[in-house]
Amino acid sequence: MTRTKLAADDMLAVEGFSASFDLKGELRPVLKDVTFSLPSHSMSAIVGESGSGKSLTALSVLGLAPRRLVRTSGQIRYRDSVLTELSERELRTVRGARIAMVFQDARAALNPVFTVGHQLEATVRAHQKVSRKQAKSLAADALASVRIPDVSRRMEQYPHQFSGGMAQRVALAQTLLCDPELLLLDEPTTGLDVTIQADVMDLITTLGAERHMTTCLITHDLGLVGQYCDRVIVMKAGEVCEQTDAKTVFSTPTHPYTQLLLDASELKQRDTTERRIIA
Amino acid sequence: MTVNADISRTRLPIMRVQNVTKTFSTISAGRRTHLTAVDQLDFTIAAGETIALVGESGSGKSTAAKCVADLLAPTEGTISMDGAPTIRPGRRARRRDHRRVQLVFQDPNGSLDPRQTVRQVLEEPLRNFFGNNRGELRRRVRELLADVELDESLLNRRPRELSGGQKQRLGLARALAVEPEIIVLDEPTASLDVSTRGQMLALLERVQRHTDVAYLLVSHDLAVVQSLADRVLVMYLGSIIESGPTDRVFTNPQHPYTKALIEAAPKMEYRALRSAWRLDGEIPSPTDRPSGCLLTNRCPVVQPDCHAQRPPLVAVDADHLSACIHPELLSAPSMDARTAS
Repeated sequence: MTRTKLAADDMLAVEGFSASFDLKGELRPVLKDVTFSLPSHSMSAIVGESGSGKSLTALSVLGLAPRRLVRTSGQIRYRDSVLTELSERELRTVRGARIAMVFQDARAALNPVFTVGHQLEATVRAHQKVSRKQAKSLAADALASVRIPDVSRRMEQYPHQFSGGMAQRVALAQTLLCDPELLLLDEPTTGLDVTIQADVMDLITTLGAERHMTTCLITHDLGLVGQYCDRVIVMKAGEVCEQTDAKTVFSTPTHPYTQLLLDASELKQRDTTERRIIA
Repeated sequence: MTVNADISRTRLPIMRVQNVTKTFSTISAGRRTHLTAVDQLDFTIAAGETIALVGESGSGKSTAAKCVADLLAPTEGTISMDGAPTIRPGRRARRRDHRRVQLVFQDPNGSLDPRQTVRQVLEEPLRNFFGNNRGELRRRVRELLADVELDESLLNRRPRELSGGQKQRLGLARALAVEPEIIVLDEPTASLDVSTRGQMLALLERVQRHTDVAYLLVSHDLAVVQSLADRVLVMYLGSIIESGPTDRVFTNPQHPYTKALIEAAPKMEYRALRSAWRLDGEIPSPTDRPSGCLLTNRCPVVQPDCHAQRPPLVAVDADHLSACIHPELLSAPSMDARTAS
């Protein structure tokens, strides 16, 4: 395998990554020669429809893809290490601590039977040797950093007592506990109201800048890409069909599929004047 | 007929929702309290028109839709079709009404029986209302599939063998089976990808043109509302705070909430100019609704007199109503200062 050197300003590089689902011995390719990089301190987006492989790619970065997904070629490089060659044990020092992920449905990602404070403290103690008291104060700091008001009361509450937007903030706080430098966010605002979506996205952008994080959004919403992202990777049927600046994607999309996505995202307004004449 | 005549006035309403209020009794912090999910809702639906209920989650739009579909009984008020109330005792009458109002659910996976084939899904409502003639059933099932542009080769498939778009079409076909006058569409495209979303919306429009069915669309996707609805009812904390023809509400919103909702949606361009018009925080709990204007704790231009009493819905111009007593502040220059993010 040729080892291309990671460009100095790239945080992560996925190089010719192909993977197949192992269906009882029969290999069905789902990721085909996926190649892209995430520049440091940028906010990128992987855009695609369901089944395009965007989530599987992100999960592969963290070594969290389903076991039946078998890598057939290529590699994923993060700084000086090749993630795809690390053992599960080595990967565990990276996952969460260096590269973290926020999952789509925050309330499903939180355990319903433990208080939010308890879960955040457990996360701290899984990664750092600290006393309970220190863990608690770190957890409280994290909640405050995602702008959750009334932290001490919120720490004692259970996930069901949080609104969707607030639960998403908790999930975000949980990933920030270990100060990761790369944050993957899988559809972080799907299911949130547009008003709350803007708040959560602004928060992600601010935190990314404050903490010098590289962030990567996995989304199907090109509107978010235009509003917040610097880079965009368009995926379709397991392949990367376009990788470009977020600005370029709106002015001069090169791949027909990108154009199709853009067109589909903008719906035609119903012509009500015409309907009124008919009526 | 003039260009300005609204559909709802040129056509007779088939459903009239009058003063509908729905309260739930809940226990919060150990005390029994009443939660007002929907407060004195008033609107009509005419044949062949599409009305959209929009608002954030917690605004009461789903509760309102459930009342319309007779899945919830209103605490107060009446819902009538052709002058006769739909909520009436007796199974037979209720059953007749259920034929007239059907639902398409948000999540096709949860609303289709995984063990039924496409044919069974469609035959069940037909049997319930039109009898058991086998030839007739086959003919109607084929017709329904054609109506929603599904291929007949899918007849023996089960939901898990269908794509998301196909499942949602099947849900629509099932609703159409009993030839309803109104179909409640609960977030009909929320489960779909953008590329299939457009197809579904186009299909809904074609079906409406052919059958003259009325849609009550419940959605928080404003793009979908804009492309499908003739009239919009904007709900907040259980009340309608603005209503009117879609194009007018979207181009000239008269309530701060509507304006914020419209301007919060990301635009399809690179770093679009962002509106400074934003709401603070989140929708409060319906157990403690503000006493004055419902938006007082989030409104960017709240005034002292907004707290005094709940503003009524008043006409801004013909059939465009709004419940804001300070619409002049919507164009206040300080709030129009747009900032690039």
